[in-house]
Amino acid sequence: MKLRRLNNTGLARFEEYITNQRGGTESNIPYYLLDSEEFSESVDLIVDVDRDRNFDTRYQMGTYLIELFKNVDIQKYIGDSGFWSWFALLWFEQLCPKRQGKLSPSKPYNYILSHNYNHRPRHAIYITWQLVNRYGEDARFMLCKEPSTRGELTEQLMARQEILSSEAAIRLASSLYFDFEAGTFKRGSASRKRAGCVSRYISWLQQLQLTFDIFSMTKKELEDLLPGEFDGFRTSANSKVSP
Amino acid sequence: MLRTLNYTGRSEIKKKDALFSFSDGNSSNPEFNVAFNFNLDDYPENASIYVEAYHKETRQRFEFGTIGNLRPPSNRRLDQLDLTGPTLFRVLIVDETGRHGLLLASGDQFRADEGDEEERKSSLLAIRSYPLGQLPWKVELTSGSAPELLLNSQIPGAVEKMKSDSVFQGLILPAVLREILTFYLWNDEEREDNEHCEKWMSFASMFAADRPDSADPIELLEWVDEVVREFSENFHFGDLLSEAKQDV
Repeated sequence: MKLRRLNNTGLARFEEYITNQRGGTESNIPYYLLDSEEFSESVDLIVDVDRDRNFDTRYQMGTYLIELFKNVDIQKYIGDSGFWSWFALLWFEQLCPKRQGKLSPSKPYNYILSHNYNHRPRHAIYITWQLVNRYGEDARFMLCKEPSTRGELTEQLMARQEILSSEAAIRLASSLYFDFEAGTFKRGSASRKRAGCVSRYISWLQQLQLTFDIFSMTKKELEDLLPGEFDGFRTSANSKVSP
Repeated sequence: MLRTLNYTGRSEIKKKDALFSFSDGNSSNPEFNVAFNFNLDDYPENASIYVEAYHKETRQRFEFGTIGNLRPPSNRRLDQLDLTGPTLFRVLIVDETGRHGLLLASGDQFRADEGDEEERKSSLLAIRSYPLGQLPWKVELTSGSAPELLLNSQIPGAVEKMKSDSVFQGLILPAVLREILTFYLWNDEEREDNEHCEKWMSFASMFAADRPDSADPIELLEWVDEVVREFSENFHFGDLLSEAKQDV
């Protein structure tokens, strides 16, 4: 179908649906908003989106979006809530967790791109596109679960806005925490307590930023500064780390 | 409360030391200019200068050469940023002679002067219509940006009503003032060299005695209470609401 963007009324209607669904009032997914003149509007891009496409992971979703936008300039839509939320509605059934066979949405900002900087990284589509667009294969460790699963690692990493745009930090995190053979992140990565886990990695980066310009560093230069507590993840590039 | 510590001797680039502006033009991607006013002799000649434009999690970095050989990039268009909100800038001076880039100085939350500066400077609170579901209003508090009042877009003419309707003003503004003051008072980092915070504290000081020089939350809350009470008194919100009810 032709790509459009939800207008403010469409966004409000979509949010109302999510809120009702979360409150136990079931109704049909409001797909009619997608191409309704009242609730959405055309964009100045000629892009056909496959609404029936199924994705095994959010990473696949991201690579599809990169392919979709490869010949168009979407810069003006970066951060546009109506644009990214339209996609979330289009693939809502895939993005929405299910409980006892029923759709059980997470909080609205997971589907409707928020203006609140704390909530923006939660958006299922926008942040997926951002990560794959910037880091390609190195974004897999954050997006390797099925589309309805929110990425624990992503949310931890994105809680600090600047980390998303540090190429060295993300690529090093990928090599530390992703098990490329298994196609998933290493066990213990998402722990909040274990030595060398992602939350420790974030603390270390924050400390490092007080002294160094990590954005001009290469992955190798950053890795050279990595303390010993990360050795458990560093030395197991292709194997799972035991908890 | 949070504290910011600087053990590394890194110096701070002040707002007056880097003046940003946007070039005139109709391009959808604005181009910025910057005039550096810091003392070049304070840094090694071979230290690199970087400028970063950012909005929320999007960021675009520009290399400006070195202290000894300042070379602004010919392309300074912001074409990788989220432009749906205000663009902020960061300036970094980095010693790259070692293996890792050592930060010598930095400053952030710079803004380009744009539009009617007087209007921008005099406007304390931007008001915007926004889909909020069943929430009537909320205050958007983003680090480095001026607070914004979002009004539910389902309310017809909400922004206009906020400017002229005493019921709207009386029911919403005292709570907005309380929320913003509390945000700044409870976030040390937000107060440091923050022009928006300074404006709000200056505004608050019109209605109450000086802010207590204390971190005691009870004392601070009492001060906020006093500001909000005097603010409401000054604008007669109670009377206006009472009269509005009689009109209905």
